[in-house]
Amino acid sequence: MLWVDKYRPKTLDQVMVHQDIAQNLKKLVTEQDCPHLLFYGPSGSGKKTLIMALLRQIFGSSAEKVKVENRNWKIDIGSRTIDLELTTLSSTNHVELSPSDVGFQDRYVVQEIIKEMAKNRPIDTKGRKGYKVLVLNEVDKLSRQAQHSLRRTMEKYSASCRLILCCNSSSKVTEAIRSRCLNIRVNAPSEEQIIKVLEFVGKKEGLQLPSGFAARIAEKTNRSLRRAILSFETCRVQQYPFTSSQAIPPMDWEEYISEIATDIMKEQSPKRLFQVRGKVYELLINCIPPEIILKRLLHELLKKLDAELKHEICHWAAYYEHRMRLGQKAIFHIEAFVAKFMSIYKAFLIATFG
Amino acid sequence: MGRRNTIVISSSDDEDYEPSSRMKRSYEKPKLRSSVTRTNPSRAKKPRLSRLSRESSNVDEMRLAFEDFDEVLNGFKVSAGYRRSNSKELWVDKYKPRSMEELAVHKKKVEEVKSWFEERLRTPKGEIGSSVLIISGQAGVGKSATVRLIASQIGAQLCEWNTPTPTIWQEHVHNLSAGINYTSKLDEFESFVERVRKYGLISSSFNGKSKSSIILVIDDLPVTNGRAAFERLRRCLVLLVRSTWVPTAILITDYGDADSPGLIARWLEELQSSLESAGARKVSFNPITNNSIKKILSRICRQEHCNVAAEDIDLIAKASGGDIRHAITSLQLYCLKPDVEYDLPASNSILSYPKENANELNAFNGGFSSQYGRDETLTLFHALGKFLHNKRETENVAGLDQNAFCVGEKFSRLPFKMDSPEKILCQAHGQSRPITDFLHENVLDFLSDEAMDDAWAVASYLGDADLLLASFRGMLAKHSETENVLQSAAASVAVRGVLYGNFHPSPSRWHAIRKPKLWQIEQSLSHNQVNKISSVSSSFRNLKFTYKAFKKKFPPVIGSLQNEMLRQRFILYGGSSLSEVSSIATEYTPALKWLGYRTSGGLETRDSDNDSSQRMSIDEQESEISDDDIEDCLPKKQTKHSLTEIAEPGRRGMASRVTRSRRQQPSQQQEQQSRARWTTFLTKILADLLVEQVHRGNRQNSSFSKKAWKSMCDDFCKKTSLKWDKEQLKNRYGVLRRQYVLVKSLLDQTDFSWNESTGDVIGNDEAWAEFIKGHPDAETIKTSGCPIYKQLCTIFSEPTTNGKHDYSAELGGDVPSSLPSLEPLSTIQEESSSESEEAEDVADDQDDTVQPSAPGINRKRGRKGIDDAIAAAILEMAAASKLRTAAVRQSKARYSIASCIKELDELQGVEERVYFAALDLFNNPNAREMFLSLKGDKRLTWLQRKCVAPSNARG
Repeated sequence: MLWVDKYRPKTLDQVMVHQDIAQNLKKLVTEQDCPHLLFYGPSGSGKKTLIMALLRQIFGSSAEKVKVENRNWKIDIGSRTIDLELTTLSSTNHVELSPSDVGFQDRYVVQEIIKEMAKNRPIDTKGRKGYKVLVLNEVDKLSRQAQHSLRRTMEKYSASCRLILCCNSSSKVTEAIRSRCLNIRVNAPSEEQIIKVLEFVGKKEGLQLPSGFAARIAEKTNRSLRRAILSFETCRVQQYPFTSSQAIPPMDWEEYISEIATDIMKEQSPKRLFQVRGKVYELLINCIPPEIILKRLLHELLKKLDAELKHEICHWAAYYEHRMRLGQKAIFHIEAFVAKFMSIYKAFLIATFG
Repeated sequence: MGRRNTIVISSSDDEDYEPSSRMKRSYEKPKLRSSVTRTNPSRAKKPRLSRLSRESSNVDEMRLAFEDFDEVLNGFKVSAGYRRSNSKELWVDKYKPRSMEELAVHKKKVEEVKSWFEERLRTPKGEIGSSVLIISGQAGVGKSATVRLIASQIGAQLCEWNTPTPTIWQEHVHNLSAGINYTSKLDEFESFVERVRKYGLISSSFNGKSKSSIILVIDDLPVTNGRAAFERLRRCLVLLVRSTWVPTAILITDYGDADSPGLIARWLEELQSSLESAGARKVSFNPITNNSIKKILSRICRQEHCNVAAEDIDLIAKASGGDIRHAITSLQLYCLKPDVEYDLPASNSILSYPKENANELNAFNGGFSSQYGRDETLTLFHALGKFLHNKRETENVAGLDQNAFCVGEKFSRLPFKMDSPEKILCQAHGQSRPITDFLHENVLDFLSDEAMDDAWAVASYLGDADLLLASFRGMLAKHSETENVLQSAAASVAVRGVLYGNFHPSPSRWHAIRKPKLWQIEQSLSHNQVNKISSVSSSFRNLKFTYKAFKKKFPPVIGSLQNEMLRQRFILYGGSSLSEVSSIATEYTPALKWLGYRTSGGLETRDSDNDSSQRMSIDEQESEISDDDIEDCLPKKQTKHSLTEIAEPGRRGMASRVTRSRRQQPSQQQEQQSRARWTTFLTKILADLLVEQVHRGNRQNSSFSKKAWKSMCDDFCKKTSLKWDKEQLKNRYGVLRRQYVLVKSLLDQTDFSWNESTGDVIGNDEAWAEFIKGHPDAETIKTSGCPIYKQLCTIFSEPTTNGKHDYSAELGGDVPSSLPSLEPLSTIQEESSSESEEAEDVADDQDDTVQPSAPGINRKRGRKGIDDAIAAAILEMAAASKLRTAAVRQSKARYSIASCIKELDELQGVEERVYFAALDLFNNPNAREMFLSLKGDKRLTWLQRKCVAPSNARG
């Protein structure tokens, strides 16, 4: 088992990073009824861990007995029927699903499937809570219509069903939904917290940590705890005993993007742009989200750039990221950004060196 | 249509006809013809070489009969007989050229044709080559008009072949009922040509003007469908070319590139060239120039007394595309405006275009002149080529107008050398999304190497187009109008953006246009996603993957990657939650790659090539593309690393294995759920386990201890992931024993030998047939052999004191060596570490997959075990009873009444009383058996005794 999973806190009491949130949640569940919840925060900050621990707190250990199901739904919408396939993960008391998996048809998932699930009260109440929980992942990727229908569902079936929503950024969740939920912001853990966790893991595994090693990992991993632990394990596999100067293996896609950045800096021409396109395709095929590609690319480019250009480049990156979200095909906009960068940089080079 | 309707003959003396009568005939002719076909069917077979003579009263009657019809048809009050009926006639017919001057065709061409005809007619037959002229040209350039005119000029009689209208089905049915056979139009044409070749046009003597020479015009070739028909047509035409002596003109209409299917165009070309090689002369007419069309149009306007602005005429002429017939018809339509009086100066108000230079006018009107224009179609690639190559005038021809919108130097572009982009888009019937994608894929090839700014502009505009296409996606499904507008706006932005942005086009040369790679990439992503969800969870239902198993099973292989991701999202989080694709992609996968690589390092060095073919990697496609001609735009091979290569090159070897083990899985699961179903593979595993136990000394007197069975169960489960219990294994053990005995007895015979490598038992057919008669079970051994015989020998052979087995000594000699450590059972080996590599892999994989995850599942499985036991018991009972009935039936068969009676008949000296008593006796099967078992002479005694006894008892 990965360390990430092995040392994942199982209960709200074991939580190391967001203890305050955990305690609040515990109080909330034990003393009162649980409202709808919306967890948001950057990836690797522990949203999912908190949710799992919370479910355990509510339903006891039965929440951990899950089964994965791949279910087909036939949805009748007037003129035709739509076939949807969705993978759900469910225990007796909760169901977890990612409606955004079905793409632009997510509306029907929310309208029909979630409604159906929410309607049915759990059979086995046995003195437990009289409601079941629906965990929805990646709510921020839901389309606007889907979010609207979600709002209705929340209101109508709140007697028998609680929704726990999970997303990275609450800004893409409509106001209506946000106001119906208890919003829980899960911050990225600070570096100190990460170091603490890493040391905890190291102790449990019986490892000798050279001083400052955990700090280096924490620094490298951009305040994502998951990444930190994964890197830690990777380092362990790579070389043990640790040396304080040990290289921390970078993520392959990050390396790839920095390679792209080097390409861009080296030559600015349509031909090169074409090559870059090919490489971006490769990243996209690997399911690296386009926003992350753009962000990382900007990061890499800024590292190598003269200070006077940085401002402008940041502006354009933001501009094209916005357009990317509005648009449909990310590659168009990433490419436009690269082209813009190339053209600015080329003009700059000519101006400076003639 | 005008051409088809026109009179069939126009001999030289037609010239002085009244226009009205010309007109009348042109109306009536079609009807006449059709009525003839219907009323007088026998003529239908004749070629449509009808001729008209004024004497023919028949025609006059017809004309009268149809006058009313004409009126109704045309809706005019003027009767057909009227002189000056302006609007009644199509101008195309009305203003048919009557003199050389009126003919719009280029003088030289006309001269060429005319001189050819004159030469043909002057010289005696057969002195100069062939007497066939081919005139080709697009529709409406005046091919037939020229011929007609020339014929009338040189005073020749014109005979015209018009292709008959095809028979429609109803007509065919009607004809059939009337007893007329169907003849294909091609047949008709052939027979016509044949007649012309052999006899000339005999009918020319018909009207007593035989001295005048005759010209044959074949106006339209019959429609041919398919290669065979075309060949027939060609053969017959070539024959015609070779042998006819009547001056013949064959008119062939060229179709434009765009609107004819390639095949027909090719055939026509082929036909022409073959005719030419047969000696025909070919003259091709060009489209009529704008100026001559204009000249003719304005002449018509003058004669019709309608005032049409010069610009309009210009427009019409331009739109006609060199097709004069079309131009004239357009003009007539234009003049037919309800309010426009012919005598009034009109129409200036209707359409007024600013007088600008021709070019701009053209561009401006491009989209609007369609009411005159002929629809032209372009292929998508043609259109793309136009956009991408971005051909422009070398300089701005006309100085900008005073009131024109002024753009800065930087933003102004030279005028297009083509129609407006929207028109081209329209002609190409392109949809905006594909067009945008195509432009995106290809435009970079067409930019000059220095022009980075251009590249940005283009990319930015394409992005705009994408925004337009994406906005309101789905929202406006109901408002298709709006969506249409958006779509066309997007296409327009994309195209114009590309045209505008590409300010410094690279020097034009030939580029291949590629299919958007984006499509492939999107497809592979979404396709995987859809596919995988279904495949994933079926196999996950009862299994929980621990990390190690996961590592083994799902090394990150690009290609099925997203597929893997969805699997992974269940595995991560300890299988108790879903995780997001993005975090898997960006965090787990890379880390797992490292982990997996290091932990299994060295072990997986096998590098197979087949998985690289499964990888949907980009560089492969790039290399494919490089076969096309875009060398310079290709990235250098060395600079490319696919993501996997960077990560670690050594891990590829696992891909093939993954697929394999995945494939096995479902089948095994099935087995687990149903009764034990033994395959060769499983049997072999069991045999290996048994051998292992034998070597550990856990066999006592050819049976195994409880402990041994238990450890075997565990090992078996470990290796195959099947949780079968001791009884099931024991049953199989029994089967194996039987098999062993069978094979051994086989091999004891001299007819059979043992092939060690394949495990086959070899023997000739007769021997097999013989043996199988005795042992029906041996059938399977004959077909599939007994590959595990070695092990069986070890397992079942009588343990002689020194551990020497009769067969294993020589056959299974290598078995012990493959088991290095033979510890006694007390410490069960954790890893049975050294069988063949493959078995090891399988074992390892399964080992981790099948640990029961949660107590719930365990319970279920326990219940399942009981169910299985019950089922097995019932099945056993059923089998036993079946066996019993079979046995009974067999015994019955052997001691049947018939055979008894037969034996009885053979006995000598049976008294009648005894005989019948015996028959009674045979009702009892025991008695039958007794009877048949007895030796011959004792039978009678036994019978007599038996028969007396019952009779006594009875008595």
